[in-house]
Amino acid sequence: MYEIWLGLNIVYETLLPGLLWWLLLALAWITLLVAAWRTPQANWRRAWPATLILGAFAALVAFVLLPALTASSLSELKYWVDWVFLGSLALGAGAMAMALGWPALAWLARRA
Amino acid sequence: MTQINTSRRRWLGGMAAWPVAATLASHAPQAQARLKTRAHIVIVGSGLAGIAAANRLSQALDGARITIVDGKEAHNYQPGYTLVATGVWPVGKVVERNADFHPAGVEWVKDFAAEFDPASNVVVTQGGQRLRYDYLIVATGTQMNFDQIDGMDVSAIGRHGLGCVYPSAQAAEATWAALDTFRGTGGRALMTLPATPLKCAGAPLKMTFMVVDRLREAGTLGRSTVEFHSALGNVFGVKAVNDNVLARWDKLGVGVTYHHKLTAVDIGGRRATFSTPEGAQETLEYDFLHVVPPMSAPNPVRQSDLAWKDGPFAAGGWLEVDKDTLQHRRYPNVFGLGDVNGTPRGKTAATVKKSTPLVVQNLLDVMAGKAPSATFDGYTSCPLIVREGSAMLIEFDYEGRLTPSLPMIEPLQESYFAWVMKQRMLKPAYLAVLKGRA
Repeated sequence: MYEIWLGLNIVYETLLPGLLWWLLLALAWITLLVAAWRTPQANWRRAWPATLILGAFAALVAFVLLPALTASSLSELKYWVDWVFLGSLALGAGAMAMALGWPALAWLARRA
Repeated sequence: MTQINTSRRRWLGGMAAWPVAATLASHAPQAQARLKTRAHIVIVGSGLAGIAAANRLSQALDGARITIVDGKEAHNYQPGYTLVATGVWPVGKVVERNADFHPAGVEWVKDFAAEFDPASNVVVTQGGQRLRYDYLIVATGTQMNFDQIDGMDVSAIGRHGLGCVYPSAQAAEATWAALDTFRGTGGRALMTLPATPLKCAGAPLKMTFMVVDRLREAGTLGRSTVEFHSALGNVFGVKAVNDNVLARWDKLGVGVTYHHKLTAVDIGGRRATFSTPEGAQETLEYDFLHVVPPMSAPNPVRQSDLAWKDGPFAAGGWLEVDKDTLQHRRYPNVFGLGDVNGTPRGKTAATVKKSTPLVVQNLLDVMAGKAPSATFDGYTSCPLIVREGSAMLIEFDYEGRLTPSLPMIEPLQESYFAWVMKQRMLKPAYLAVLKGRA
């Protein structure tokens, strides 16, 4: 359990320097979510395929770019733990893109 | 302005931390009831160990007077020095302010300890202030004895091919300047290791790996030699790690000379003199020299009755603590934390991470009239960089047994994961430890 607690602290301390921006992003997302939710024409189901594509694209971009963004490269991944680690980060980035994008895409896919 | 920014940052931090804190409240360091006491606790040193202990004690105690003694204003993230010295990080990433991490209500004596008188429960500062204490935590760190290397001048680091990652953030930055110049031309690099216990004993190895990597990147490795001169019979105290590093260096062409102690340097002439146990001396020319100073406990500790009087830690004057409880062996109201301790291993931030909660618990036990209940296994860790982008995450205990925190991690396997840990995750972890949360 200590490792989980330490992991949460690492995430918190990583986000802390840009906390204001993270809060603004969260606020923007909640606003978008509420706006889309309260728009009867918002088509959540129709937006789902585009949301999946967005998530997959974000995950792919993260997978390719994250090593370079951390002063490393894909060629340094020679150990199964590295692939699982990078894959998890990429999936996290994809999930975040989907969470952020779905309300916007649902709103854009309004029924006429 | 700083005060306002700090307050706002703390408020924002508190708001964001609340859900996490609420979710895992039972795993936070101080879920138990606070101990009421009027005791005066003096903490000498405000590195990671001193401030982390102050934060934990201020959370755990109600009514205690806590005093931190240290003249330093800056707080340096020392585990990042090797990244600065090899051009991975800018120096700004390792420089913080001590005041930003002190808990509220703690008294800060901005002076250095000059004398310890444990028989009278007194610490005397360089300014002559006498501080009486009920309990003392010694967290002074180490002393770098550059004066044991004839001709060495710390202010010359960065010039004439002279590097040293240890003394300060600025020295680390200057070391990168020297290394950056050296890699442009290539030549002969001499890497050194003294015979004393060191803080971050992996740093000389990391520097060696990175010198090779920077030469390779610059295309000058082919016309360069990198030599490691150890004053010991090995390059690292844990055999499995030592053997692994030597095998890697063999492939990289790094030559190793044992029992070769750096005793003098001619900075302008770029000549380093080494001595052997038999008394022979050898002077070598170099283009880049990485100096690692012999280390000891700081003189005020070393010259006090707190130091070991005999045994392997007496020569360095290291603090005489019980290796299991980190309580002083002769003064039970004194505890040691961090690099100053005379224990078999562990002069790293990772050791402080593991041992600070334990020392605080044992101090609380003693304050409550009980025997210390927590036992330290000597845990320490060394994220050993093997080149930019790859590292090994090595963790071990007093006995030199490899003890990975994450069971799936193979300690001697170089990995991207370990590199990201070193480059991105360990400073946030350090800050959490510093604030007494992890």
